[in-house]
Amino acid sequence: MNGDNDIDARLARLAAATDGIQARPGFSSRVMARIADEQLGTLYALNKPARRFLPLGMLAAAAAFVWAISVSSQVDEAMASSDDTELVW
Amino acid sequence: MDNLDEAVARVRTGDTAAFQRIVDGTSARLVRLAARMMGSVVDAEDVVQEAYVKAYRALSTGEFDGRANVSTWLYRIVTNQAIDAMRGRARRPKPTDTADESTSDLASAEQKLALAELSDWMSELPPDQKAALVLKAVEGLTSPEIAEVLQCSEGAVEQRLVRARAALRKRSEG
Repeated sequence: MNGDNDIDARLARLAAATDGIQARPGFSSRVMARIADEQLGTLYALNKPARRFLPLGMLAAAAAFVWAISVSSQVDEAMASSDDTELVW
Repeated sequence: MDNLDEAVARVRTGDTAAFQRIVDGTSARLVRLAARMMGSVVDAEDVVQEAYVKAYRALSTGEFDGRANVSTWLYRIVTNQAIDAMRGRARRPKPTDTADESTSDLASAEQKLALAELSDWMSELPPDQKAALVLKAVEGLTSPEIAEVLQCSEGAVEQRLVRARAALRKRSEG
């Protein structure tokens, strides 16, 4: 077991010698910048499927616009024809 | 609820700025742990940074339910990240020039020598045995704590420790 004692003694010496190890200055800021990138990436990932439906949305909006115009002109025509109508008492 | 638990609770509700408190409260110990496994402060920072990103994801998606001890949970993420990095490094050829590192971190010459000695001495050990030995003999964790960090049984921890010591003994005899 002498070998184990040697190993333990060497590990204890190396543990003490590396006890003061620390990150370089600015590490915390670098981590937070990486987290901010991560957030942007998440937003982009969420945004991506939505953008796939953008052409469909534009088409639907155009169709709705055309329908609104046609309905509006039908109403105008109906109103105009109602002006011509004479009521007979 | 201590400061760390409170910060974790805030991050889980969407307060990203609270993550800074988690980093400030844990990075010193985590970077030192990773440096002892990786043999370099620069590599340790990369490992810990990726570990923090994983931790943030787990907190913001609700994957971490807050029942486990936060410190142990972070230790686990860093250890797993270090094991993955060691495995990746074993598959890649060693860089021939590490001069940029010697000028870029604040570790003293003594600390760098000690890290290099630790890294060289354990270079033949499989990453999981190296992690178990560093956690036990260098970080001072108990076997149940190591089992929790490595997510294995205490018996498996003891087995890794015995094998690691046998390999180191063989190396010093050979």
